[in-house]
Amino acid sequence: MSKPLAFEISHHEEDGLHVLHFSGRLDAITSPTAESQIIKVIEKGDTFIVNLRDLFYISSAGLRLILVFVKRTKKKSARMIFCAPGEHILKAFEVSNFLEFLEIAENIEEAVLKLRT
Amino acid sequence: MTSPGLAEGSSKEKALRGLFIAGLIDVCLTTTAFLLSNSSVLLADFLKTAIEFIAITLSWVAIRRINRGGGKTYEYGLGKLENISSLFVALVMLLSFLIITANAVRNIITPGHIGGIGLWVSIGAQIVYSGINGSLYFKTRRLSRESPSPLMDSQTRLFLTRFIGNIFILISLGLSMAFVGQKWASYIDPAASLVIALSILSATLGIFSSSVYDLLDRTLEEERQIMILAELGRHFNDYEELHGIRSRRSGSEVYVEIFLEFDPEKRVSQVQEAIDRLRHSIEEKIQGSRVIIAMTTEAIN
Repeated sequence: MSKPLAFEISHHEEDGLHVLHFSGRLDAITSPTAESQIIKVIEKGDTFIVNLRDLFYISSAGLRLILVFVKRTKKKSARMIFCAPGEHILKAFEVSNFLEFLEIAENIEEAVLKLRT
Repeated sequence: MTSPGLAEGSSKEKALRGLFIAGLIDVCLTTTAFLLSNSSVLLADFLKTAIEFIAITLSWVAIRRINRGGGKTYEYGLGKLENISSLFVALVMLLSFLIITANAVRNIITPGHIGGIGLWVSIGAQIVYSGINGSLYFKTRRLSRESPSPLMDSQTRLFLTRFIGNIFILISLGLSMAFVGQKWASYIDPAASLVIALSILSATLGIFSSSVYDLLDRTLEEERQIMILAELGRHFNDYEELHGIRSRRSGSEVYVEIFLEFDPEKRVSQVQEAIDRLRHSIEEKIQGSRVIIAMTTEAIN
């Protein structure tokens, strides 16, 4: 059974490429836990793909978290690509002007290709 | 040079001082009319006028303190003074409602015709004040729209109630005096006073709900939070890291604190320009907002 209020994050690494998979809701309730988990991953590498396929809701708290992590990866000259955002997530990125600085890919394959080239 | 905020405060203070003088004269007239008659409506009118006078006096004192007393040191706290004043007025209104209702019920049980010189004093006053209150209503409504606040909102509501009340009392007294020989006419006066009591109760509930809500410090609505993030997104290249955002609403004011880290290689003037750009853009987007951008290299919760 799905948990509508939960946020889950999974992480795996392959050839130095870190793939994070977000699912559920990223909001004021779930973002503090998400933050501590993402920090640990970001410290480990310098190329990241964030799969948003199963993220179905993002609030201002979630957007703020994304802004913080994009800034942090840029500061350490790392790269972070967000892929497969749903319609609502993409709309949230659009109204918050995040599309001006986020790297977006349609799927993981395209994200990998962008990072390899 | 006078800042826009000070000019706005001074304009409010002048408006309230004028209302205070008008209210004082009105209180003298309604007291005289009430004491020189046996009318329930004139008792209700006296209490209603007294409430309005208390409201104006408290608002005037609050605005004077905001404009002069604390200056910039107490800007966060004095915003609440308006709400507390409104709450006190609402309590007095509630008490008046109970007094008028009790008196009206008594006069309905033991009806009697109204009389006395006070009726003529009141009729004259109602004619003059319906003109004054009508114009004051439009004036406070304009000020309230230019600078929304619980204080101006409650004043606008009060003057509309007063204007309608003047017309209503004129009709009520006129009917009671015109049909003085009819038994049913003795019920007009207490029934009309009950209508005034209900209008007072309705205004009381409105003031209670808005002032209590504004007294509670709360974070900004989601829409405004996203507006802040959108501006941070628009100025993405102006700063190095985002370490925290704090925001809250107090009355009609919105306070936003943003903690940013800047490139240490940048000159102070460049950082200052970046801060000013971001601050102005957020303050333009969010009406009534005051934005502070602090430099830090540590996460702020």
